[in-house]
Amino acid sequence: MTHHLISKSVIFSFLSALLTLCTLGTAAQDLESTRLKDTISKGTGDINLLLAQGNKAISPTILEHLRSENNGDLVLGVDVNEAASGTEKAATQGVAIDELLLTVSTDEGIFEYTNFSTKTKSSLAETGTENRQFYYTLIGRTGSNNITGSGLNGTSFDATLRIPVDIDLSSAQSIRLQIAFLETNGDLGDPEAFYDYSAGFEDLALLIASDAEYLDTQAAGQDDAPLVVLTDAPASFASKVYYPAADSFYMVGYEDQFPKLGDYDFNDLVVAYRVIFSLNSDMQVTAIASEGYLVARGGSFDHNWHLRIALPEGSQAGGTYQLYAPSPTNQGNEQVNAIDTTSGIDISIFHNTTSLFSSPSSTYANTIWDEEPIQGHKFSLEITLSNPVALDAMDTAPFDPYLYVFDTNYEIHLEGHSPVMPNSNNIADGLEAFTDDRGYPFALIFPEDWHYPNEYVDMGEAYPELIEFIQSNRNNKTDWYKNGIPSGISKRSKADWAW
Amino acid sequence: MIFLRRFTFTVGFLLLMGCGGGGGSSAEPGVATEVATPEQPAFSSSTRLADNVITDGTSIRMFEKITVRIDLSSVEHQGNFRFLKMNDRNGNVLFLGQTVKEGQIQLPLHITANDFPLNAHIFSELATDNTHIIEVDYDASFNQ
Repeated sequence: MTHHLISKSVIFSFLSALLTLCTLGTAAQDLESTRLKDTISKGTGDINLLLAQGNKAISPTILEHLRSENNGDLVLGVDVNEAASGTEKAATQGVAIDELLLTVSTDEGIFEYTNFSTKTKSSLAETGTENRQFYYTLIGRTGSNNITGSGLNGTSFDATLRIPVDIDLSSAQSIRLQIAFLETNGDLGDPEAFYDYSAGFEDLALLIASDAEYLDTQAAGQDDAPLVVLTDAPASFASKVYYPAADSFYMVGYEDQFPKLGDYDFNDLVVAYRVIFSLNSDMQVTAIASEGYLVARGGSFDHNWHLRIALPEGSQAGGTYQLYAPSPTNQGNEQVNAIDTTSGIDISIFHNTTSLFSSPSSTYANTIWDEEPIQGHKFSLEITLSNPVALDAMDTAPFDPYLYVFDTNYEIHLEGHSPVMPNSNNIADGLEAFTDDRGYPFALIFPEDWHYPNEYVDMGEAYPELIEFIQSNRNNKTDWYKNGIPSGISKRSKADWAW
Repeated sequence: MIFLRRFTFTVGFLLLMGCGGGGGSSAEPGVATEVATPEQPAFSSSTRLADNVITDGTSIRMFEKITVRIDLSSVEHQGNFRFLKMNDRNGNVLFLGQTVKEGQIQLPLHITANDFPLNAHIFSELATDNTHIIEVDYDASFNQ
């Protein structure tokens, strides 16, 4: 009898174990990344790791499988979702983690974990302090992460967060994550202003190993983020020099009647642009980025707007640029174009400005004072240099933003530059300098808070202090461009054109 | 308590003068008929550019190229990393990143007279290392 009971018990145990193994095997086979219900809001989160989006329960066994698959770490994906302000924008956003507590409740007790890591760090000052120290950061960008064939299809998770856990989670009764982002001292500007947090929400997901690896490889937004130190490669330098500044643009205005005298409103085409050099530890340029906007077109001539950045002879580079159409037209949105760098960097970015940038109510775009304003296209470009170039050997700011005018076959450069197009009329006609008989240039660079004059308004009329600035050789009235006559200048500011 | 120490470092300040010359006439005889001549002499009472001319020694240019040289050797930090942030008077960041710990670095910048003073913040990854701030003041040679 006893023997019989023992036999039944053994058989029962065996079958139970077999069933458990089958269940675990199936779970492991079906393992996929899972978006959690709870989110991080206003910099803090109290996250139930056993509750998925849609109030679906997540088995502790699943978490144990995820932990095992990720070599003892619970790996969370974070959808960084910060307001675009300052240098934070769609292409790059970031937050820093102040502290984290993972609490696991089991029959055997409560286990707490505070160690964690992400793929990036930055040296930051907390609010109320000005000295900095390392904090782990989460960096991302707006838009899909392109994960497919997973529970995260169509989501926009960016960065990974790893928490080492040294216990089996299969029998956990609750698993909660409390997380707080760092309140940075935003008064210091970047990098603190970049890594501040806004309202969020930041979504979280439990990740399988392949999705975690994919996100880590994507490194969304990292190239454009400030002061990034890679956790896995802390010795790799990532410095940037900005022209004119990280959060500012040059405004370049043209008189397109060259070589004829213009009307000095410097609004025949107005473009905002900036250029960023990435540097290595030897202060050599490894990559070039630029972005900008069409701001106004007050000329009826048709143009191509070029940005040329000369490279030392023998340099090789490659890259792409993208052109973005403003909504609601969405014509040619996000065209990706390869940059031909065989003879240096000379990119025709805005083609045929009369058709690219046309107002339905005017011959011009944004230069008539009562005209309904329109937004212009924007561009971004990224170029990698095959061999780094010493910073002091690079072309210097503001580089060569020039205009090719179809109607005249002339090119118009900043003062001091030379024509570069072999088939333009400049060289054939011997017109290789870009100042007129009064000594004024046909293209000028202004700070971004300059408001271009309205149509036909001479810039000296729009800005009465400009003449004193010039005649004092730029010693007096250095802020002349901040004191325009309101009726003579455009009302549009950066917030209007930098969409 | 965190202290900021403001240092007066010797900052090499080199103006690069490659930003365009005085600019003579670009018109050649063949197209001279297409180019109007100035209607009024320089220094008219009018503020219109069309009523004035740019004479030798003056310019309308706003931005200038400068090179700021910073000697990092005299900054004593215990951290393993050295970071540099250069910003203008309005807090606009001109340079940001990791730098070498020793020696001199040169930063070619492009700024206006209104951007002064510039500030170089040198810091590490340790909260115990004070941020060193080097101020670069306006130099009269900026506009030469």
